[in-house]
Amino acid sequence: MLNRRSMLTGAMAAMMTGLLTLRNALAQPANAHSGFIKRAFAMRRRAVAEGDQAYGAIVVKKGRVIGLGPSRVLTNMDATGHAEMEALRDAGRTLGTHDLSGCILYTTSLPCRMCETAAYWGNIERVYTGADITDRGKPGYGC
Amino acid sequence: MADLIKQPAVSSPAAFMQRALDLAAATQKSGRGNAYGAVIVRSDRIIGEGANAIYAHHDPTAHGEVEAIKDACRRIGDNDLSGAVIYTSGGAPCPMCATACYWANLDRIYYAHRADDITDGGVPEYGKC
Repeated sequence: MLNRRSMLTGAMAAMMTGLLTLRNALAQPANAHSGFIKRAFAMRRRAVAEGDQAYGAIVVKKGRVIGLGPSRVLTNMDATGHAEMEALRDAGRTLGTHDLSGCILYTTSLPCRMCETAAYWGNIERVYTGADITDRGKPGYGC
Repeated sequence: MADLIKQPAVSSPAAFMQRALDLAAATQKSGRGNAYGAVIVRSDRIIGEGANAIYAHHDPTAHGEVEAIKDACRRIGDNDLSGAVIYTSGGAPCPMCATACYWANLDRIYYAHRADDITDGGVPEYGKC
């Protein structure tokens, strides 16, 4: 009897431990980068839904999304309205400055020369691209 | 800028470049941006103009060339500026602006520090800066 009870207690303890472990795992924030790149892909979906080119980007500062960029080349009839440009412009409006130091750019595709240099001018700290969240480092000036 | 663009009395490369230089001087004087201006010209008419406005718009992409391209696109209602050229003040455009000219399908880039000494920057190419 005692033996059975201790077995039962042990099983319940093990189950509780398992549940706690599971709860802790769920409570852990999902990889921060994966959450943000998902937001960039949400911008891509918005661009497509609005009839624009299939690109999306966001700008993040200290874990907060401060710039949204669906591509607006066709919807705004703006040759410079690439997703990254739009996200940088939106971030500048949010912060009230052209200096986006300390910000990260997440974009669904590899930025073109225009967009990478724009990120350089904005003092963007780091660029991550694509569903595999490739770390492209600090944006460069030039070719 | 929904206002009409003031066209130069005489349509000449020097007149177009002078307008770009004037835009550059004005934006610097107002504190809106650094001393860069640009105009987009098609069929001897200015179809878009812009000046650096990075401080006024809080926008790191607001170089003179980009602003001019945006203005021309907005006015003609097309992201394709084929058949147009850009006159921009200062030296050769930065890679952002040069590539913006490429995406806008501009025919040619002209740049200058003085209206009477214009450099032909050639056809915009992707990655050529």
